[in-house]
Amino acid sequence: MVAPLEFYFDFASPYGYIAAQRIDALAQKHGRSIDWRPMLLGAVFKVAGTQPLTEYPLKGKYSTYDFQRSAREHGIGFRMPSKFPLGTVGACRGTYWLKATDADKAVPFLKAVYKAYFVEDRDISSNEVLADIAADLGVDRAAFLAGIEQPEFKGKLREVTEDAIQNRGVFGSPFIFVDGEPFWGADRLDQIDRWLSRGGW
Amino acid sequence: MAKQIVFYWDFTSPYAYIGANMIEAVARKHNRSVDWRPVSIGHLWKAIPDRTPFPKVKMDYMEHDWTRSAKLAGLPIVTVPNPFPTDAKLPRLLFYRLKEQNPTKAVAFAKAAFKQYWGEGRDIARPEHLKAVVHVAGVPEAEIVKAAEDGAARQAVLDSTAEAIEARAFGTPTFIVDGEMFWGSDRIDHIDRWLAQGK
Repeated sequence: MVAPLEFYFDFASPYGYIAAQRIDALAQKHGRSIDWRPMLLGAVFKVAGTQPLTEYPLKGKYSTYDFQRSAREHGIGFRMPSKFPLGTVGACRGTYWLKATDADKAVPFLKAVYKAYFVEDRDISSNEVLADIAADLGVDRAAFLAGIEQPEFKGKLREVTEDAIQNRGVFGSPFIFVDGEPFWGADRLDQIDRWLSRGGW
Repeated sequence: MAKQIVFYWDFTSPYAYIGANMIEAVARKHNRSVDWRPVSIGHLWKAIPDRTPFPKVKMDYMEHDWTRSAKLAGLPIVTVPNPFPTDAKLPRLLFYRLKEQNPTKAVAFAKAAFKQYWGEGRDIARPEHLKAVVHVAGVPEAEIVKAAEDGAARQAVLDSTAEAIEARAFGTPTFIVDGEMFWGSDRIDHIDRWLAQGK
């Protein structure tokens, strides 16, 4: 069996959001599945000594502009959220909880969270908002709220984030591994497409 | 007449090397010409209050990425030339000196110098290495020495760098298409579509 595309992302990452809208078609084209791995970019920034792109002068302003142009190019709805960046611990844990307990809902959930943030400008740092999103997918609210507090899923998130930083060389979002080959950025999806077609170069 | 695509770049930027070999085909497709404007990236960066730090893990990836991207574009690449970065002052001056005489020749020189540095890893700060480059571009060797003393060329570097800073560029390659800024060789596809759609 061929390996899944490992898709590391942060829920507050605009390019992560854009890539998340396009990666399914790409994976499907090449008969691959996707292993969705939300992580905490804040922890990555701390280790790397960096900060969110938008915080830098000049580059920050340009990147905000580029997010919108890039989304528009692919017909993806996007608006810069009013609260940016924000905490995504609950969204990450919720994804891992669903992966473990109701796997079919994990991807619809993470897609819905991204949409809630980058299209509807909802505050996805709030567990209540996340529970609403889960409930819309038929997940029990109370079970969700309890699930994201379970040590198992707190630990899972910590483990994925630490492994990404320590062992995989992840320093941004999205970060996609194709048979071990690292690709950083939504603007590398076309290269991934060619990489999969050609078997690398 | 349609406006030129302004192309700010420096020899020390691997993505500028890639972009320099890709932008003309896109420009031609849309009946545009390219105004090649090398800048001093060191001076550009000095003008920026707060640059993005470059942790080692990112640098390692970037080296991998520019190598992979160059190969995808069919360009020779050594990954890290020696030395990297280098002082590209002399080839910049020579570029502007040649541009004044014959812009096509200047571009041929720029591509040859890019290839020498990024494709073969040889230092283009050294006049003896530049000799091989000017040969390829059909430029007399004597131009190298003259370029070092060329006041107009020096002013052109300063002017272009100042204009790039004014345009709020923060790295190279930067392209300005009818006032719209695009940063990075990976945005040339966007430029293509932007010009096709007229926005």
